[in-house]
Amino acid sequence: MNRVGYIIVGILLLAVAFFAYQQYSARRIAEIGLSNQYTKSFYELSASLNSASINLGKALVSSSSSQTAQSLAQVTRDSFSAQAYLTSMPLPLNMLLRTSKFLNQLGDYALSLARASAATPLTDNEKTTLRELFDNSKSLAKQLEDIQMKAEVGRLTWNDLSTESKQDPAKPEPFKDGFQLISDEMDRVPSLTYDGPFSDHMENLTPKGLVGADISRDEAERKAEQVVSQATKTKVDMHFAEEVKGKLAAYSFASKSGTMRIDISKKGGSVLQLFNSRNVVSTKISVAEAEKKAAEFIKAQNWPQLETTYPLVEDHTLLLSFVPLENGVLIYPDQIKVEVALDNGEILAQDSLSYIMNHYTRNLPPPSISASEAEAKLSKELKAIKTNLVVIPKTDATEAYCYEIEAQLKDSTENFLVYIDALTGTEVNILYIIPSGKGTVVM
Amino acid sequence: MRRLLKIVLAVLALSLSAFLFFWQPSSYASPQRYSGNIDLLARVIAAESEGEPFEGQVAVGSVLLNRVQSPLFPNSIASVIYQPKAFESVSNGLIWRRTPSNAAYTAARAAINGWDPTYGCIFFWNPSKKVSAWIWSRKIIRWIGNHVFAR
Repeated sequence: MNRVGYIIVGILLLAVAFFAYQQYSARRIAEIGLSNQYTKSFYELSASLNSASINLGKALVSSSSSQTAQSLAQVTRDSFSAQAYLTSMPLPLNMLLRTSKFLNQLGDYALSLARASAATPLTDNEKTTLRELFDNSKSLAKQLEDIQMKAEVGRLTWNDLSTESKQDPAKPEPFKDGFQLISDEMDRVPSLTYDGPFSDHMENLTPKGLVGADISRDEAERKAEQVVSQATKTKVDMHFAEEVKGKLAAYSFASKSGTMRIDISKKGGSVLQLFNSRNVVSTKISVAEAEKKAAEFIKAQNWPQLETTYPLVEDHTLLLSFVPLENGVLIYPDQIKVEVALDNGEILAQDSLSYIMNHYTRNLPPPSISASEAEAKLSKELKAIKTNLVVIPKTDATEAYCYEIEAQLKDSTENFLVYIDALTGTEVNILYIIPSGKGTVVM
Repeated sequence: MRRLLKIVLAVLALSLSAFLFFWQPSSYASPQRYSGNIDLLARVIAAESEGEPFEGQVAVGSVLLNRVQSPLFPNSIASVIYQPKAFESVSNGLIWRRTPSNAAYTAARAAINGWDPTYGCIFFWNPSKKVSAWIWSRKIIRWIGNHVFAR
């Protein structure tokens, strides 16, 4: 009897051992696969960075403007891909932030230089900056080589990398230590200032459209209740929830149920954002009716004259943008967005951030070319339908003063928006209008 | 006989617990469907801001979108979401374990349409959970529900 028992136990133990071994090998294969991914990323990062640094050198010493532009374009490609590989490394986020910024700005800056260098040779200032970037990127590439040698990157396992902090502070971890060292060194690199979406000046933008004196919390509360009551057409009690800090300092208020939120700026008491999280499940009023309600609502706040653009219908709500008109020119950067529920016409949301950040009086000169001259600049494939004077925002927070020409591709129903600079006549941007039942969607 | 039964039961219990301990369903890592960025965004919103007010859900979506624009982070929404160590719910597979609620989708669309209750924040965290100390050095803009939002 006992022997049978031992045999059964023995078989079970064997089964468990077999099962455990299977799990162990599966885990090992998965781990190797994973660390191979990271090793690949590391080598790609190293290679992209080397290439970026070599091309920076070439751009610096070339005497031909087309060669310079070509090298700079390569720098952009390389540093953006280096940034992508860097941010796929399994390292604590704070170790990567500074280096990531360096690579993004390098790519961005090289792109802006490549564009400029096609027209005019590099200035002495630009050459000095390029020289610094060349030196910095070379030293970064060298540090990566060091990490590669010290850490034996290919042998690192998931376990080596996945721990958040060091178990033993005295024990060297060449991989993490190396990236920490790079990050520390990057902190000493002065940041780049230029016109591009990743430039530091994008972080330091200050609101241009915030006017008026500071208001008290009580005044803000009265304003909040007044606006929310207007939005819902019922009396709503709003209570103070918190202060919003930063460049757009504000008082935030919430309704008792928490479904309504509104932020009122401390300076000037403007509505920054309004939110109603109510679910809308049916459509009972027309889009035209909803547009009228939005216009009435926005008119009650003290904005200058605003024009309606781009209606978008989605999930039983209407999203509408209002932009100011300055001497017949639509100022697109200064948008205020309003959302209307299509069941009862209630205002669900308002977002005035773009307006508050960008609005000022542009004092635009009359255009240097006429509307028909601008239309004549269109590609022969397009036929103009409608032309407006507009100011458009660019990705680097600068603006362009343009003719906006809605045009149709020949022998089709495909529409495009083409932007021709009103002063120089150059083509600034093209947007494709995506046909949709929802409204105007552009890309 | 009784002793034998005991041993067999113990071994069975042991192997069952070993099985439960090691076994992992292979399905939750695999996306059932992918319908573009809104779905992925809604999934992270749902997993990261469960139980948060609607505004807090939009805010999480805004942080993700703000990261795409920031030089400090990857430059596409998928790379931001899948950056190693960026989101716990992505590392532990939670985002694919349940279907996001309608509210999460509405919040994702609101964020894509440009609503940003965080005023440009690129970090958020729940102070009641374990967080890295460095994160408190970022500039805090506001609190929504249980989350702190910072630049």
